[in-house]
Amino acid sequence: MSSNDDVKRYSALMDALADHAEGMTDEQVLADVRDAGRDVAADAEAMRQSLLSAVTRAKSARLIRAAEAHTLALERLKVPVVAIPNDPVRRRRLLDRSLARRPEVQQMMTVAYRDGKSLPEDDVESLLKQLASLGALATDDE
Amino acid sequence: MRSSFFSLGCREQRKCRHVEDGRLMPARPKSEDARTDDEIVKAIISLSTADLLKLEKVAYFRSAKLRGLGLGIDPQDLVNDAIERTLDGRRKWPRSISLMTHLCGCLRSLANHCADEFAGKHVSMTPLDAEEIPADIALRSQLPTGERIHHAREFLAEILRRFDGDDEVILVAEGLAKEMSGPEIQKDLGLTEQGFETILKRLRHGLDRKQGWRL
Repeated sequence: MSSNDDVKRYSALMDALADHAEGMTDEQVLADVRDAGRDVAADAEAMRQSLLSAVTRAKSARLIRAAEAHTLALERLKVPVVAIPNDPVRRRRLLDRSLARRPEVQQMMTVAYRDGKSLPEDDVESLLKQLASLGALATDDE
Repeated sequence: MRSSFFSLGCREQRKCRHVEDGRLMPARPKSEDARTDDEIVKAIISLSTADLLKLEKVAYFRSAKLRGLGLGIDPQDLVNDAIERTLDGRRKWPRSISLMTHLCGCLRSLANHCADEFAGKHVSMTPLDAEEIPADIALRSQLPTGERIHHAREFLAEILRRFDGDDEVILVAEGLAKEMSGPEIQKDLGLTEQGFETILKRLRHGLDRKQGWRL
């Protein structure tokens, strides 16, 4: 018998026991636990708490990831990875092209950008940085 | 006017679920199968005593497979991962099936995935979904490491020692290890279904952590 067979045999045995447990009726499960001398109610409750603590743990992990993502996004806003043109005319053209590429963003911007020509230069730059952070910035040479 | 610009960022962020490589990525569209956290908690609270004990057994044997291969993964690790994947949507919980069926499926595929990935001597509990195992990992899983072989052999020997004198259990365990089905084993050993179940029960109890089995 090869070494590989030992791994296969062991895995197959545990898979079979798990598969069989999945197929047990409620009565079989309860009798099985009682016959093993275990406390049915206490063990079931321990399992329920184990599942609920897994939910709490997953939610905490999600909050931590969200906080990390938020921090990262703020960092990216401070240092734009996309070069924003110095020329004001090119900046406004870039903004127009970027908004044209993302109609949903343009729609959200309608109120603010109804009269884009009157936007202060600082606001144009700020908006371009935000679009860059969202990955919604067109390239300068398009 | 300026506040509108900032609200763009906030509104866009609310629609985003995560950041990849520093870029905010749009939320995945909510499918009809998507479940809220509350739905999952309510379903857990509604699980019956039998469901919970069955789930405990399944998680135990799925993780026992991994521990016998030298992986330090216990039932709680598998349960944690199954719940986390369900909550974040990586594992869809279809409305057509119960939470029990869903979790049993998760535990099965996670255990299989980890066993396969172990061939590379590296296991992460938050890897790709089981459906996404790269072909090269699947291929490597056919080539067990020396460590894996050592653990599997040791645990098989321990099972034989533990049931020394109970030939029925040993024969049934050997049949299962050869991937024989229950009816095939019954036919081979001349057992009734009830007789087979009784022997299987002795095997399960003997391998129960609370009966002293080291798994």
